[in-house]
Amino acid sequence: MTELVAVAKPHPVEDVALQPEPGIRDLVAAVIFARTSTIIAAIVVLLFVLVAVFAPVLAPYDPLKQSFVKINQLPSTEHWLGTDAFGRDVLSRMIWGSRNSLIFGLLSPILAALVGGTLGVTAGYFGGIVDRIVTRIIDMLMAFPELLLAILIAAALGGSFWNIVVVLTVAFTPGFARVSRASTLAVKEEPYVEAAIAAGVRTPVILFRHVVPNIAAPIVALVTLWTASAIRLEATLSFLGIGTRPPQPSWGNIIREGLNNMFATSWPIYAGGLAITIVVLAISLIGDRLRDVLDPETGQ
Amino acid sequence: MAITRRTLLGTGTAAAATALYAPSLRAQDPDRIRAAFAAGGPRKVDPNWTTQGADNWATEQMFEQLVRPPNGQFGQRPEDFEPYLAESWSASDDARTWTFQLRQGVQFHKGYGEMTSDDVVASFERAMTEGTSVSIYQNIKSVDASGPYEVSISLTNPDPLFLGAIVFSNNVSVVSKKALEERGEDFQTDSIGTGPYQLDKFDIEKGIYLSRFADYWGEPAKIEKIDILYIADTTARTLALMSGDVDMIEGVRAPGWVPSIMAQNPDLLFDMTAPGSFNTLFFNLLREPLNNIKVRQAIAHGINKEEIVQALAPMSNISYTLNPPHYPTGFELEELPEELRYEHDPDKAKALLAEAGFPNGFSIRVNTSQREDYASQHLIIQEQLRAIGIDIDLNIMDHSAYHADNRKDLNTLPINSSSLPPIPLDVYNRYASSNAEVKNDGSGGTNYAHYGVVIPGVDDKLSAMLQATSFDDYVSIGREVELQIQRDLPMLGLPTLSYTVVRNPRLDIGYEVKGGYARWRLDKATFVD
Amino acid sequence: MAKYLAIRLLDAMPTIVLVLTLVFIAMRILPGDPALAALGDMALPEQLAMYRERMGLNDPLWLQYINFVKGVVTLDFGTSLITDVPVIQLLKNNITHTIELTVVAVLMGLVLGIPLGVLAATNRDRAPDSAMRVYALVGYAIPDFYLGAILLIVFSLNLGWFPINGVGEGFWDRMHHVFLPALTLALLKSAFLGRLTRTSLLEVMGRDYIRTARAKGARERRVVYRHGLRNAMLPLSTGIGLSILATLSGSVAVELVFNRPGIGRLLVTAIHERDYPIIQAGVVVFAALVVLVNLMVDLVYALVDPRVRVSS
Repeated sequence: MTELVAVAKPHPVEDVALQPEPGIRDLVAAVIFARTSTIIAAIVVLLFVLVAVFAPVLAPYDPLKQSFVKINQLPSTEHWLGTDAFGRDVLSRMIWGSRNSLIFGLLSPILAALVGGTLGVTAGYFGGIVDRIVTRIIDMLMAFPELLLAILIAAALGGSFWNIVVVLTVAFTPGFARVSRASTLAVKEEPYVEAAIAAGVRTPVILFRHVVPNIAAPIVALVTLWTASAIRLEATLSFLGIGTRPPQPSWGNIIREGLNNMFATSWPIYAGGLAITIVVLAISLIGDRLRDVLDPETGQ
Repeated sequence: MAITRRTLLGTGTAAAATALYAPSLRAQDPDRIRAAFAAGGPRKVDPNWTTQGADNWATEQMFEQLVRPPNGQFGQRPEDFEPYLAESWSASDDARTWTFQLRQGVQFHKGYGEMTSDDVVASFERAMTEGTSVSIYQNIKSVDASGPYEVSISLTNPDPLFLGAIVFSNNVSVVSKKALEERGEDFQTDSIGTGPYQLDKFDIEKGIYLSRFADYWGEPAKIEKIDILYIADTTARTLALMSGDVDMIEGVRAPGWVPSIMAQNPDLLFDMTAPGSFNTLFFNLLREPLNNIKVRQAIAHGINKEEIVQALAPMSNISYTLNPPHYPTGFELEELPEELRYEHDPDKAKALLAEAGFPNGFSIRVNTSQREDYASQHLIIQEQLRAIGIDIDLNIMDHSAYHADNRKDLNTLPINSSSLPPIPLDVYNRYASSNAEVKNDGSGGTNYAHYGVVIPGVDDKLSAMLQATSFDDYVSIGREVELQIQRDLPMLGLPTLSYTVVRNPRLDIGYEVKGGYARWRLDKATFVD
Repeated sequence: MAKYLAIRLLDAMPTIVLVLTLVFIAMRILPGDPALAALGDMALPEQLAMYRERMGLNDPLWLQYINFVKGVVTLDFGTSLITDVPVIQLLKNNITHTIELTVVAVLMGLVLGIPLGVLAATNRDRAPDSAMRVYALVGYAIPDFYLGAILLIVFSLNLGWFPINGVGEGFWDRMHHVFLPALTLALLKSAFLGRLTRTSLLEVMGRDYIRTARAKGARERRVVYRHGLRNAMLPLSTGIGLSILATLSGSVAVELVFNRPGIGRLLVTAIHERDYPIIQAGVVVFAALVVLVNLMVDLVYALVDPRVRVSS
């Protein structure tokens, strides 16, 4: 994920201060409704989210219930995607798995935005030694590809739900911190902010009234981009066996179990892989468009 | 050879494309067997130090003992054993002194000379003082070379099963004394034996490479080379077999695996040891409500063993007691009194639960391992017990964490799977003796039920077994132990799981594998294509 | 120049130390007993106790940490808790495979990606450009292990064109073995590299010296490759650095899918088996590689662009 962001910012030392950005509503209009591709993408994402939310209602079977007389069945009218090595309905596992896969995708970047945003704003606004320390830590962490960082932390903490959230949040926080710091630096230079400081307005007020709204847009852009990343990351961790642990389903471990069972039925592999690909593609499309709108130069 | 469409991407093009090339098990080197096994622990090629299956396969080809059962079986009775490095033997009446006449002219690998009684003495003595199984040999008082080709062994306690329990065991395989002295610790990775194959190369990451020993005392091996490869990942191993990269592999003991590869290639051959591994379900008597006998009986009636056998077919065989029916102290169903059969009966189970004070069942947290055989059994049982109202909250853990926790007395209904030989006293000492009680600092043994401590056990009968001088006495006391365990129900025997090897039909082993340890000789093997 | 190098190296130290310490602490919190894992389920208590003693698992935590640090500094990582093989030997054996995979994958990615990027840049907003965009998006969306699994099933298992496991011996055999895993990674990375090439090239193409070259009558092809691409290499090199890192982390899953030995697979297996010495060593190696790649990228930047050297 550092790849996509880095196209705009190649070198860690040279940070570029961003201009204050347009509001959220205009953004959504420009990004999503301007092209058919993004409208479709948005619908796809919405569908997946709805499936995840209404999983208990939509899934035809209990995703954990096994039956040893029904193992490794090919798709049929009873089991649209067939069954796996334990006789569990693959479709139900995919539906429930979307919860695990999507929750991390949405939750972690938001948390990372909160944590990273706070860190970045603090560093940018107050400067000095706080800034130096925070920048140092950010640079250190950003040097690591997220997957490696995630593997190391996941290995340490084990694979429970909250641990994975922590892992992904830690992996994404530096990116948010960097961007919010840069935006804060830019905003600080603005005349109305300098005026407010001179007039003696209290710091928290300045932060909330002026700084935060102006960094909102790039943060939202990042959240979108990182969501795709988070979904991929969780899938990879689950595939490696250090993310969501079976029997809890997640698209990544469905593929893993499918791979171990590939001679019997390959449908779990296709289903899991396609789901991840489609969702990430849809979100990336939106995120891509978002970036074009925000930073026209690099888009063109 | 037919490729079923399920292995393809399901598109028409892919099907057409692959129909052009059928990955028939490709012909390989005509003078080399390639075999792949799971591997995990410290890797050695010294029979006194091996801890894992793959290495045992190598030592099986490189080393021999004084006596051995016929290929493809365990020896159950003393008469079953055949002369190998010993031509004849006799035991004293009290089964405490055994004398062996050694075969003459047996050569060691790589020019280490002829085997004499000094080598045999050295082989036994080192197993008694160091190695992986020192405690097994504690019953030996002394081993003496009473002539250049004669060895006498005296025991502290009589042991009618001496041949099967002690002599035919890996640690006392006969090794060259001279090589031991010369090589010291290096012997563990570069060893010398008397078997039909000798060591060419030991690659600690890839595997063990053997070649035919030309001066073997018996009939020389038919195929010149054997590669024993370490492939821990089950999918990788399966792929290696299906693509023709190897000729035989250790199978995967998960439901549906055998049918799935047979669907992929119906010509594959299966060698299975029966009974294979013991699978034993323990009731931790220190945990409520498992301390209530009616609850344990209810669980026993709630479990459907036939269903387990079917789910894990064809590798699974039924067992009614701790020892499976084939083994000397095991029971067939008809041999058991009615009330000890614990046949599948959900209604009876629910009635027993009600009597015990749980008319609506109860819930209990149980740990299991993610290794395929453990997880499968616990999952099946979880489902079966759900039907009688017992709700198991199953916690699937890493394999090493699972065993660590079991050893610390942290589990309620652990299953233990172990490949055990037909040495009943050995089994009881591990699982039922109060000396083996599990302790919560991990320093105890594998008596996970606390049998003999929380409730009276079978310790007195075990001592009597230790003193038995004849095989028949030994077995009859053993059967009493078996019945008492069945009555007290600190543990329940679950269906056994065969050790399974799948092989390319071009490889003929030369005999039929029916039972025994998870390894067998390949010196009679030939390629038949 | 040397001073710059030294400063950057010193900069890198705290990162490695921090990561190592974190992992060391975390490893000790993990459940599981390496002694049981190594010796098997039926190991007797005396055997387990002996084993723990030998492996220093009974020492107080601070002592284990000191030994650990000493070990890292002297490159003595101890022996595997499970197989008793010296860790340094495992690292030596496996690092070549991972580096081979990474290098081949990056090269393939460049060979595939750069021409595609050039194509997209010179056909801006036309069909090839949009195709490139789609390719980049799809390339990012497909999980690498999924693509790897499909390639494995189709080309190795069903068609038999490529070997199934392992790394091979001798140059051509090794290339044969590394082809599919590298292709998996390369296909995905080429999308990113292509996109990056396109972007940098477009930025550069707008510059004055390009216009001058065109005005002087140079052929378009020469303009693009000689002047355009050469100057685009600068931002491109950071992208390549990132790509190398991404390939390195992607190799973990790909090694697993293709059952190919390497540091990634070593690490993941060790995590499952609680093999502390290998986990620690694996972390050190990855941290060092990451730092090394970043350092190299900085160096290239400094070499090419004197401004950077002066400013720091």
